[in-house]
Amino acid sequence: MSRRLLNPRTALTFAILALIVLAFAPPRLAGWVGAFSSPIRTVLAPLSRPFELVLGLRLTDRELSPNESETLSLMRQERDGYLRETNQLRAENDVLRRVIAELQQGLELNVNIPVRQFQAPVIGSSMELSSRLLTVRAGVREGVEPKASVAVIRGVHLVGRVVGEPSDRFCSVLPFTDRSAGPIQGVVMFGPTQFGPACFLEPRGDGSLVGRLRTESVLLPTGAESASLDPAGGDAIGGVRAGMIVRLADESWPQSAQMLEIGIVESVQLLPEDMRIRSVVVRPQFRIDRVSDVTLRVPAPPAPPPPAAAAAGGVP
Amino acid sequence: MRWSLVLIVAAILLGLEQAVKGPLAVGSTTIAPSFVIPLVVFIALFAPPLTAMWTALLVGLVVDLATVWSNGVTELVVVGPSALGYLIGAYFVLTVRALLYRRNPITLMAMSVVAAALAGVFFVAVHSIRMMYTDAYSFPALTELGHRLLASVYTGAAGLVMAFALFPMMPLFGFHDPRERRFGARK
Repeated sequence: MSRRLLNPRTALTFAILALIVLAFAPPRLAGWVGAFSSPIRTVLAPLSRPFELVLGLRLTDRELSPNESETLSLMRQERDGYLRETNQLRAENDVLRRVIAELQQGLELNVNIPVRQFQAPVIGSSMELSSRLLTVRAGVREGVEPKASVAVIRGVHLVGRVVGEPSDRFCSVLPFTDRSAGPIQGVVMFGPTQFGPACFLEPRGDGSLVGRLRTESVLLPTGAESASLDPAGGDAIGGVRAGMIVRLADESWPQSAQMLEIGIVESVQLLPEDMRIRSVVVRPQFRIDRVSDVTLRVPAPPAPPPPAAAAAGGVP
Repeated sequence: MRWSLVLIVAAILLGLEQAVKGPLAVGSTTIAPSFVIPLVVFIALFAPPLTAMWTALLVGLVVDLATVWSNGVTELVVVGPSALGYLIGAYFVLTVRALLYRRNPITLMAMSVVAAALAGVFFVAVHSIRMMYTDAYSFPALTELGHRLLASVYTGAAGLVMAFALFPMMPLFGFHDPRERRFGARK
């Protein structure tokens, strides 16, 4: 009897039945299968790495800035970093003013969330291209937290955020251009520090995002206000031009990620069915699904209170 | 059939597929070649039926386990769409292989196209049905179907190239040739 049960033909039948059940099982019933995924990905990563290296398939830091000397590239990176910082500080300044006003009413807000940054290699991507999840070699040991940790390249260019439960050594980053990542809100920059209109973007699945510009001025998560588009003005597309930078301004993303660069405006046009709606196409500057390394921005542990404050608080 | 060699070749091809599938994709679409489907087809052309089906199932299972889906919050691994899809592809090849001139590279190419198309249709069908009761990830079925059917042609091209590597390796795989038994001339 046991021999009949264990013969390859019967085993195959059982395996097929089990797979049919698992293929259609709802996530809460088949979630345990994920435990087998991590070992498989761990084994596949070193198998694919040699091919990537030999064929030069991953975009290295040098390839992200072609035809540029190292010094120029570093300066450009530094400038981008300072610009982001300036925009965030300017916005934080506005927030602080609001916080002061709110604190005076007895409210307490914690707006300055410290982050820690470190470089981590991308060791693999999904086998099926329908899902563009990246496997990054950094996990709980490095302080990676789901949702609160964000991946960037070249300091300011957004890649995506950590999803699921990171393991000790690995985490999964879902690029914001993946259709599953859902909509994202940003703000078009008229100048290095001048906010333009806000926009609501949705990933198209081809690496770009499409959405509409908001005509009204909105309060950005950083505290600043976006510009409004004047429908009565002479410029039908409200001054938004191809090549303008779009930065992240989305409440569903961590505060520390605000003002990171989403991409640049590829095109902007009025929708023929409704001339009041301005449609905008935004594309990241780099193929973020092909990067070899990312910088992870993870929440840093809160700094210990200064000794004077600790002493004052410690005495009953 | 020598399982050890099949495992080594499958591991190499899975690594190759993971590395080059993205860069070989047409633009930012999912139209990209598969390197493991031609291997599954190659084994289905020459190995005993049960062995061929187990190989297809196991290779597909690895592909399923190496694919993680997400809705931006949680991760999900769906086991079955590729495993069963590859099995269907292998079963089709097993059904028609008696009618084929198996040692021709064109055969591997053509069968790779058909097997990849069948696997693709099944993959899209499973995920489309799943979309009716779960929002754990996003799956645009119609676009995916079109992309996968085009990708099957691309897989055929990969199969043609791979035929020139796999056919010379045939003696190493240790496939049993049914003609030898028929004439009692086993070597």
